[in-house]
Amino acid sequence: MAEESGDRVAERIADRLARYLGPHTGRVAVKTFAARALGRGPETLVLDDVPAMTQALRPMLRTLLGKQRCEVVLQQILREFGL
Amino acid sequence: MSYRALAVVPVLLTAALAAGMYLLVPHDAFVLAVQLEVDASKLVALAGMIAAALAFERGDYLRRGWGAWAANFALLLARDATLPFEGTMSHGAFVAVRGLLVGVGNASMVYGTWTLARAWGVAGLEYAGTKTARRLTIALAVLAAIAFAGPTTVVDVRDAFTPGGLRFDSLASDAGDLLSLPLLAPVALTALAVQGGTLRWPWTILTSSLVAWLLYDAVYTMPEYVHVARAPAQLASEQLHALAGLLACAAGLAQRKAVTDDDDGAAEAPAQARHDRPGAEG
Repeated sequence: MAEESGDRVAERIADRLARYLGPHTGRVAVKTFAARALGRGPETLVLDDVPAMTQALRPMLRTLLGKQRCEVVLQQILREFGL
Repeated sequence: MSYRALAVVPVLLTAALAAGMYLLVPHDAFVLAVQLEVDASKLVALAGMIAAALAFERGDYLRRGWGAWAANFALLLARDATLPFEGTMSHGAFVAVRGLLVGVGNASMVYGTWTLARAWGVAGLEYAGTKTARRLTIALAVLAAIAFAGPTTVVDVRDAFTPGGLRFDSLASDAGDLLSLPLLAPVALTALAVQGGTLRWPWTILTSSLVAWLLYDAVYTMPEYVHVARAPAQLASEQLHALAGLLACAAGLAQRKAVTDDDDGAAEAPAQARHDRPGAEG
């Protein structure tokens, strides 16, 4: 699979979150948790960062969507990247 | 039912019930009809809140919030169910039982609203806008709660000092309103933050329910302060009471829909996420 640009990786994760959180908060969440988990901006995200991002997003999604839906969303993100 | 229908149906239903009440119910049956309408709205609110709570698993954060709201409606219904027993026990015992049910019910409502209001922070997210704007919003909500629920409290405290006028249930309800209604601000901020996502529906409808409670308090006490006819004010306030319950039901159903509806034909929740699978890391 071809390596995607950081912006594209962040955008795709944000798009998935936007279904629940809206587009603005979807982007903010990716930015917030990329900084917390990886210490970097969303534009630097690469495919290898996606598993770590799903880990970082888990507590947030679990709080707002519950454990079951949270795991569905995380699996969708991973599947979207072919992981 | 779509999210939009969930938001609109309570308003339309309340308007239809109010019109029906005004046009069809005889004057001598009016109080009973209103009481039945309000109790029915509490019953559906209880069902909606239970549906929301059960959409989450044990240990999920929001299950507590919706569950506490459900407990509130269950206890308020229990209070209303004591009405036929008035006169079968001492007045003191009757007042104490009702006060206890409403007191615990309102404590549940405050806890439930507090839990929902904190969800955004617990999730590790920050609200949009400056801290000053957020503090201003919260300050406005506190002022609105005092302005709308305060007059009712003043009337109930005044009545408590008249012979036979002490009503623990009213005082407990006032305390619950004064403590929970300021939490409207963080709930509304959460609704704003998730605009464009499915979660905006439960949070927006819940905000509307809290606003209906505020207005109910204000209209209920209006005849004590301004020159308006008591009967129309009572009809209007009880319609807002019923609307608050119906919107609470709709909020619960919208929350359930947001976390249980299929998304892109997604399969049931996996037992574990991909990174929990052996050899999948990296």
